[in-house]
Amino acid sequence: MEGFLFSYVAGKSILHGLDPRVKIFSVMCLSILIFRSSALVDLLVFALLFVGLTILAGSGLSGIRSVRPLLPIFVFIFLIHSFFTEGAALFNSQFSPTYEGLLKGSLVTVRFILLILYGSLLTSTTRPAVITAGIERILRPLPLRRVGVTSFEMATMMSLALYFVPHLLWYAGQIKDSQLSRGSKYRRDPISGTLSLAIPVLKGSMRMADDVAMAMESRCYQGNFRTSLFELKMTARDVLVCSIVLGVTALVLYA
Amino acid sequence: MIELKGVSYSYPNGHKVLDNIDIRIEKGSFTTILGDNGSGKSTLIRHMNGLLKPSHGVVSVCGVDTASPTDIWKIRQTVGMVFQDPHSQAVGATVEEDVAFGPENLALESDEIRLLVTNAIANVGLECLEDSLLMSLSGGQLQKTAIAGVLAMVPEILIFDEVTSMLDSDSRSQIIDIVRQLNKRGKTVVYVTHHMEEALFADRVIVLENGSIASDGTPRDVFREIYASGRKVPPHLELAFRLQDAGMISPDVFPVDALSLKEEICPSR
Repeated sequence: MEGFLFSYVAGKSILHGLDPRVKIFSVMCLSILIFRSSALVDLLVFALLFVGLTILAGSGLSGIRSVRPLLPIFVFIFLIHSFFTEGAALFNSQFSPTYEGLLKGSLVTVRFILLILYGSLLTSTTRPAVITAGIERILRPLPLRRVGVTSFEMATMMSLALYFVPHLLWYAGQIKDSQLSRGSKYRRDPISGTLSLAIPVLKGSMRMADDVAMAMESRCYQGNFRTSLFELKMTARDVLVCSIVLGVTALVLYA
Repeated sequence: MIELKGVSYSYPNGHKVLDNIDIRIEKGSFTTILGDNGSGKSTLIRHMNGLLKPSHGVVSVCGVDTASPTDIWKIRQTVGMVFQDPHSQAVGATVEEDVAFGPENLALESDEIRLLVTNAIANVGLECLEDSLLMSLSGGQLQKTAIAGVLAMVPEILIFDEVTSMLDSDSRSQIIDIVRQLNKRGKTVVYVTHHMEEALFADRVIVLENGSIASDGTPRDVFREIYASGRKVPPHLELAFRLQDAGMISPDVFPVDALSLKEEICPSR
């Protein structure tokens, strides 16, 4: 499962060494800027920045390749915008993509791809436990207890999701293979095949959730307070990166 | 260390799983609980660290009642439990993070957690895999990670719930070796299995049948009883009992594996 979307790739680059709070903050700022961009040229700048950061992270093209499973979603987003945006029709047909739709579809799809890539860059250069610790520290000052949760619980939920999303995908694959080997017509009828897959996957994930809850309880998980193996310390470099990101974001937004 | 007095347990639908169980687990002992599927083994051990509370009777760990809500976390730290499915007890993304989960819950300092994690990982021989993603590990390595996760909390008692049932034979023997080593280093072990061969290494074997204790004693006595009742025992043990009945080897002989029996019959020089 190495190289899976959003999985961590061990390394010693500058990006690996940055405080997770700085990286989370930077991804949030970049997301705002990407959403504010209305020209493909602007997005090209973010794409080039991503390539530069990927080289800096030393993770090569594995991050880009890991996005491949999401290709059908990108195509779907592009087609939806291409066909359902009003404008000048591309072909002389009743159901034709429009020039405006193609432009909007490209823009939205590239934005979406960039968001996924930057998210993937964050998770590939940061240990899941460090992301969890970072999120917990970001959420700690918020009055979450008033709504019945703690920052520790939120962080644990995210940490569990980071492990169980790939695991559930693997589990669904196992069930799909087992159904195919028993004559399921999944390939010929993907809709009913998906339905017949969903029920055992849901049942299995419920049982797994129950088992995990019991294992967590038996390891003294209470949710109200925890410490972390990874102690977070802001260095001068972290403050510098944070200031640059904040400065650039403010400049682009208000200039 | 662990004492169950008159423990019975029924599910909310009224189905009785345990019926009037009395067990005392001594410090430093190695107790195996044997039984078929549905005999109540897992339900029984889940009472031993307070995951389940008895419908009737009392369970105490080091003199503390598991029903006491204020002491439950101390009890769970004292009694570590490793479960059957290695995938369903992982909570971290990497080996190191998963092992650290317990000490993090105990709110220890980062340096202390690091030390406990390093020691626990070394105890199960996963030193070179500490940064590995759990998704990339084999079933045996995952189960070792789960054992390390429990060891990192420095429990006095370790409970293993059919930990080898989903593993291949090599991983199975490695896990059994780890369990035996831990017991030799002073940990009290309660080992649940339905593989009879795994019960031969214990000091004591308890056989559960339909939620009641059917046999309780040394492996020699319990397996003799099983053999005498006409039920299957491991093949090398059956051979040893037959040879004993024929007066060909001493009745004191209790071979834990085929090799030990061979040594009894024709010792190597």
